[in-house]
Amino acid sequence: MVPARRTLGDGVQVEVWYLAQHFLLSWIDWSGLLDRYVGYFGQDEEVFPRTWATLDANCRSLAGQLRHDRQLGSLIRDDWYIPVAVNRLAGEPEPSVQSVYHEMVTNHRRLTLLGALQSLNGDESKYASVDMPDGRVWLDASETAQQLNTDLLKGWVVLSIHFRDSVLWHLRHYQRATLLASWLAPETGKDGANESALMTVLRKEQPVIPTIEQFSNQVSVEPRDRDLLRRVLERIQTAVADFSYANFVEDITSADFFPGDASAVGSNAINLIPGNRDDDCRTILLAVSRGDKRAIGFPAVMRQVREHLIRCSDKTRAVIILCDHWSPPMLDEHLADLRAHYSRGVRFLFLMAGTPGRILAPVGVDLNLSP
Amino acid sequence: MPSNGPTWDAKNLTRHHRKRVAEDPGCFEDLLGIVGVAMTESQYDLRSMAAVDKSWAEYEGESWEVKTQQYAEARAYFVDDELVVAVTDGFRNVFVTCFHEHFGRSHVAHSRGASVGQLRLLFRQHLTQEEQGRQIRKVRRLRGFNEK
Repeated sequence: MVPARRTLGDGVQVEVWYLAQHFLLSWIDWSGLLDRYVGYFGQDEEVFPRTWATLDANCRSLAGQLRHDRQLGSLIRDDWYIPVAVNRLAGEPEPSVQSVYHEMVTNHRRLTLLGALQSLNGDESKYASVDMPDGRVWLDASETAQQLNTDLLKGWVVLSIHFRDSVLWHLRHYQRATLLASWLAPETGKDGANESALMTVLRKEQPVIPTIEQFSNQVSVEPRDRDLLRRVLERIQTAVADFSYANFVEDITSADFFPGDASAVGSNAINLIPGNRDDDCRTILLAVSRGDKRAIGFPAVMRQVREHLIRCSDKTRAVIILCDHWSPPMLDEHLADLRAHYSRGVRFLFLMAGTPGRILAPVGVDLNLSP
Repeated sequence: MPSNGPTWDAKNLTRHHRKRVAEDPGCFEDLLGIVGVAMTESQYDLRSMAAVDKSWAEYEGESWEVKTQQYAEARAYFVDDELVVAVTDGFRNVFVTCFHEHFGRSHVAHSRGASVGQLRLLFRQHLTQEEQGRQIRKVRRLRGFNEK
């Protein structure tokens, strides 16, 4: 035990090994952030005070000495390992969003530290010994951290979507606060072998936007309805290409329009908004909007979509929504409902009219992702 | 802080006492050295006041509330050497809650003979991570964090 007056105040002592661990983790947090700052903002290292370079070099030198301290490695391994073992004996409490977040961040920091210690010198073979096969740093601690990482990933997949979303929300803030851009993150082995659970779950949450063709394959419907969906999608694209989106909207919202096989929407076996709200529920819903202010504006049409989905919750499986403008907040008030329907198997495709107004292209909406 | 320290609203004291006893049985009893019986409301009251009086750290912030999905109003946090955390309103008049921080693990798993210094460092790192993850925002570190 040693005093740490500057850090902890008078009369407070701390275990030497813990102080060493705290130093190493703090150093790698700080040093890593400096490196990522320089990379992310395209700056030169000279943007920082010169004393920082000296400090980093001194810390690196000390870290280089500590990594050869086998006893330190064992003590640190015990610190990382015992809580899990005792938890299993005592019975884990229910995980909370906060605890899962902290476990992921903590183990990410550990793995980052171990990776940094491993790479401090290029040639590790000269440090190989019975205790450190292949010159690997703190073998036991490394294995413990890797096992914790594996356990975190195993536990992650059985968490509810809502729980994962909540954790991811905090992880994204941590990612932003530490400039942990995916391309600047600590190097991992082949196929992300040494990637932390934190980086893995963040990486897997990248958006996937299907093409119009892929969308029809995603919807869980009978083959006949899938063919119908493809026909409708092809017809509306063709109609917009022939007459422009503005004319397409004017025509199908006119009192003269009735859906049919030869019509601009390709079938009368679908539900159409704006349209007859008393229609029987169908597998496919096509909703058409223009602007955002009128009865056929996007907000009004989306409200009708949500009403329809409640009324036809047992039937509707594919929803195609057309619009002529977009900004991310447009969906905010509707997201909760849409995600609930998505979780039940309803699939949504948002198509926006491009330039010229004879093109329809998918809008990036991935309801499977956390906000 | 008022010279006589924060106090509990009677209903809130009852609610949080029951919560502590139900959700983490044995935790506060272990801290208080109580064997065989559950902690009383009075003991919980006194222990929360002690956490304020003997705190080594004090900070303010707005914490994220999972249930309501929004941030609470600014509150004051007092942490003692056993990592009992007493939370009061921003004026430090009224207790909001008092709990023993063991970082999501069971009380048994957490209680492994760590030194006061180790617990202080651990808590400070924990607060930093909370802030980075926006579990708490607008944090003002007032005491115990090497503030200048």
